[in-house]
Amino acid sequence: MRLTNRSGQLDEPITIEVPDRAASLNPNTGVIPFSTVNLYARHENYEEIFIENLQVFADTVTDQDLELIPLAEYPDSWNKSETFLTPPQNL
Amino acid sequence: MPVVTPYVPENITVHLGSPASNAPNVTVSFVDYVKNVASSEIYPTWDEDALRANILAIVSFALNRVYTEFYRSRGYSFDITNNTAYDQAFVNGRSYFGNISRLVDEIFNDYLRRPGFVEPLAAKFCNGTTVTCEGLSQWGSENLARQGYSYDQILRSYYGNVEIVPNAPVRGLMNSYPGTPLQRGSTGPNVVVLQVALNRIAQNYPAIPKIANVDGIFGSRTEATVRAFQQIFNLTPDGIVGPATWYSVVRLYTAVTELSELRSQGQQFYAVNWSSPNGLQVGDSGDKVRLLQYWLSVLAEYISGIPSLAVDGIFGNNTRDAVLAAQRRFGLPETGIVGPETWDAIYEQYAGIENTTLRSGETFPTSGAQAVPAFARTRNANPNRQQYARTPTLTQFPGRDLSMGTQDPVRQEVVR
Repeated sequence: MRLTNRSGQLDEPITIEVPDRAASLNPNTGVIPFSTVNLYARHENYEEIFIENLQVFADTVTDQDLELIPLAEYPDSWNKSETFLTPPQNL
Repeated sequence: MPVVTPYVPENITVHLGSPASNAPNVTVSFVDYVKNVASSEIYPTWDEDALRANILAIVSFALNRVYTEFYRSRGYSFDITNNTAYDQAFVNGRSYFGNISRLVDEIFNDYLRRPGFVEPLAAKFCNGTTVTCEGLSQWGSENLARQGYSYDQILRSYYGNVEIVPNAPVRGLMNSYPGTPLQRGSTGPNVVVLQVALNRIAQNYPAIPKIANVDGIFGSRTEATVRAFQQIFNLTPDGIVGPATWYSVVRLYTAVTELSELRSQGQQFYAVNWSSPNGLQVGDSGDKVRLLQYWLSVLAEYISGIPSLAVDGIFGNNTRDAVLAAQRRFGLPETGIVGPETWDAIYEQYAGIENTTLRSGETFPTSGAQAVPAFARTRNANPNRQQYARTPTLTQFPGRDLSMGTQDPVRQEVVR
């Protein structure tokens, strides 16, 4: 769990384990060249956001914009979250 | 096509499915669109020159869709789809990669075009391994970059001779439809665009009469042409160009000139003042001279008194001799200088030839298989005449051969 700063950004990027860079430089390595991360953002006044399978490559920063949608005053329970799924790159 | 200068839209509307599917649209800023597509199409770990080449191709392709109003002219409410069978990949709400994001911020309003033509290149690409196509190979571009190719060398090796247009203007999405219907009595550049487009469409649909004088004035001949167009394409034949007719014209024009294809005939700038030069004479050069020479060379095929000449855009002695011969023939003062009277006389004669011979389908110089499929038989045709078939401009003006790059996408596969 991380808290953003007042501008809505993380102060420090999160580092995770990824496949070797060489895996993304050749089409025939048979290795998926990125790691995937699931991300879950919440704030009491906004719809929650699920990001599934966010891709992270070696030596690369991945930026995820989160467009938080304000909740209605008396929100319906079914309308409190949004999900974005990133399909795998099939290069 | 009728928006004369290509531009970068502030926002672009993406359909999240194949064109006819019942899927939502999302509107995003053009910069975010390019970041999203680049992050979805290629790997961020690649060489920077490969990334740049791919981003330029992505921008060009999207701008081509906007410029040709490819989907809007078909009545859709979006500019592009995210279906890779039609367009390029776009994943709603996805993340961008930091280095791609920085590159896109730098070059999102640069695009590719062929020298001498206006439209952004329909820069198609494929991954180069499981799918190969004419155009850029994504894996191949990375391979070339690692061999030391710069991004423009990579692009030229796939797309042939292309130039990079920097800093295209950014503005809100525009509709080419002028806002009010064009009808008898309308004048101005929009009428020129209409006339030019109808004349070009008439090459493929011979039942549509050509408009002899592209003058920007919506007169009775233009109206007759519009009616014929409307009849053929099941529109109300009222001779008034409202949105439905206008976008049918745009769609047909884009189709017959293959503007949304990689090997298109290309679009040159429209010149509103095609007619009546102030007096072309020996020593002049440029597109007007080229046009004059082209008309004269067509006349020379039919009128024995007029010597044939090369279409090189330079008003030399050969051109002068041909002009003198034409003036003699048409009973005009033999000055060798092409003023409005001579220009119109030559053009009228040319347009007459074009109209009658194209209809009878015999030996019109432009009647290559390209222009009129029905008259495709070109037995013992003069080989010089063949070049008139590919014509990007107003009249049957010689087109240019568009050559592709030397990279064979199949050969460029990374060695297994």
